[in-house]
Amino acid sequence: MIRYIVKRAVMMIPVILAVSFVVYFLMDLAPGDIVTSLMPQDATEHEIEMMREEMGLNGPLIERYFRYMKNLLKGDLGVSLSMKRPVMEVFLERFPNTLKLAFWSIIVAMIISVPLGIAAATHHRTWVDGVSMIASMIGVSMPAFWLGILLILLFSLKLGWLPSGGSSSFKSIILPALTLGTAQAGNLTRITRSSMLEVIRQDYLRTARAKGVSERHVIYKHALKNALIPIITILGSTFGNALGGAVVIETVFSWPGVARLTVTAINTRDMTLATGCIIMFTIFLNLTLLLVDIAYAYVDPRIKAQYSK
Amino acid sequence: MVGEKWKYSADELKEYKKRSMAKEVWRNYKKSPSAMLGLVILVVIITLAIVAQVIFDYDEDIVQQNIMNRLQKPSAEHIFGTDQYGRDIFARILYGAKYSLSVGIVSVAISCFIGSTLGLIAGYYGGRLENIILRTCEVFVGIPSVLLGIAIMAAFGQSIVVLMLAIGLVYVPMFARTARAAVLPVRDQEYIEAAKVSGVSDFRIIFTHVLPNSMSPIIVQVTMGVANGILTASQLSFLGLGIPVPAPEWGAMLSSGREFIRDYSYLTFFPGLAIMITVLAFNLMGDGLRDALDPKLKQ
Repeated sequence: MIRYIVKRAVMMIPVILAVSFVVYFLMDLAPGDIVTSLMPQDATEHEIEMMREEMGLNGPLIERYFRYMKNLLKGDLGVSLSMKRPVMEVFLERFPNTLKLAFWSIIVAMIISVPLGIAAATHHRTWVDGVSMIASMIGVSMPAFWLGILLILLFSLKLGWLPSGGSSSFKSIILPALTLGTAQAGNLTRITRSSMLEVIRQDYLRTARAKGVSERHVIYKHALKNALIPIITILGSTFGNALGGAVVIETVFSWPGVARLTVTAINTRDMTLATGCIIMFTIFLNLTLLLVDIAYAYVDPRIKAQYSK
Repeated sequence: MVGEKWKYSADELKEYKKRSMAKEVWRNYKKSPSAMLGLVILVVIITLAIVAQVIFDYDEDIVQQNIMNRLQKPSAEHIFGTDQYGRDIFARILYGAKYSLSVGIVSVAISCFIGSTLGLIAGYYGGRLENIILRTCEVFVGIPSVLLGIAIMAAFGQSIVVLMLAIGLVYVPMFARTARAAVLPVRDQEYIEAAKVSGVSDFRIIFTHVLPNSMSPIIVQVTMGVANGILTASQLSFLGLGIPVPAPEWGAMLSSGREFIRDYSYLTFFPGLAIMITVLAFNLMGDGLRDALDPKLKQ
């Protein structure tokens, strides 16, 4: 098991290196020169060149990239050009907000999808099944930002119950988490349903029923435990989706997370900040997927046995 | 004796032969009401999009500002109302269908072509080549798709072609993985072995023997991919990184209507509804196709 974890962790290194190169390269291609735009209008060519050197933006692409990577390994992502603060500092300051949003959105998604999926599977081919499948299909097809805007319209503008944006009180997270959670719920419902349908047909459930266990007990104790395994596996990728979805949702709700920070950085051509944020975001996402894989092995003894061979 | 052995008459056999794969799939597809609903919605959307190109003049009806008419609520004359520049929202939505549809379809064509080719090669040859292709895919899967899309749009500038390429590239790994997974069970079949021994070139084996037998998951992925592509495109447009204004792209219309949400919510409501219905149509079709292509899965 430890060998597997080490192997997976080592495999992440080339992925992160490649991601950082792709992102650095793309950001370098973007038109618009931040250095010139930061300098006064009458700055001389020499002054601009000095500034560029000071910011570490001189020299050919490859040279700059290697310098960047050397600093990255030391945990230094450079200085944000527009905020004049270290990128790492800005990122770490905002990151907990994004995590909080992703975490609560997954809780929301689970609350919606697990009961709905179970109901659909236990009432297979009845109207309950039909309604929950239609609902999840609509959930998958809905643009999340649109749902967010409609929720703002209803709950903050018309009813005045919840704030429409920002993060001033604990109530602020409700709407963004609800939006992002609903967006994830569609897929989770379908997976819960099919996983439950599979488990329901197993022999051990027939045995349980045959020995007189109540139907409720069969579903919630015997079936659900086994049906949850695939759901836990895809929680990792759901978390990844939630982080990706956060890009738009943070913008809709003016949520002070890293996703919105990244979009702003790209739009203002703050390349060090944008590159740093995307790289950190990616590293984190990959780490999460690794952790989920490990957790998965612990939940399901069958998987653990596979690795120890 | 002979008569007993042959259970089917010659006519019946002829009839059976006529039932090609496509017909078989269509026969299964027709059975699902939701899949048919998806198809009908899509046909309606495409028809409306074509009609809109004919009856509306881009300069006059779609982008020309008419301040006298601004922010009119939905009425008999403007059934979806007018926007902050006095343009008819219904006309703009119908006309804008072509952007979402073409971005969705072209970008999936790009990712399907590149991704499936890579996946077929990876699955067929295996070994080192497979490793390299899969690892490369992993790199791109590691970056959240919207962020990768934004980075590409920022690097190459905003236009419909860049948008198609950006979304197309973002979804390449998905197709590569699907195609590879579909090839694996086919790769070791005896008929592939037979083709190899009789000296057929690898290229021909891949395209005439492997591909047709591993097509089903790719076809499903294509339909679902169009749905995803349309959603991603609308997200990018919403963030101001899609097709440049004043083109009536749905995501951009939705985004520009946001400032007026309190009193003129129809400005955001209708474009969003249009996106949802279109995406829903593709998702319903994808679901129906999956069941139709592999009836065993339905159980």
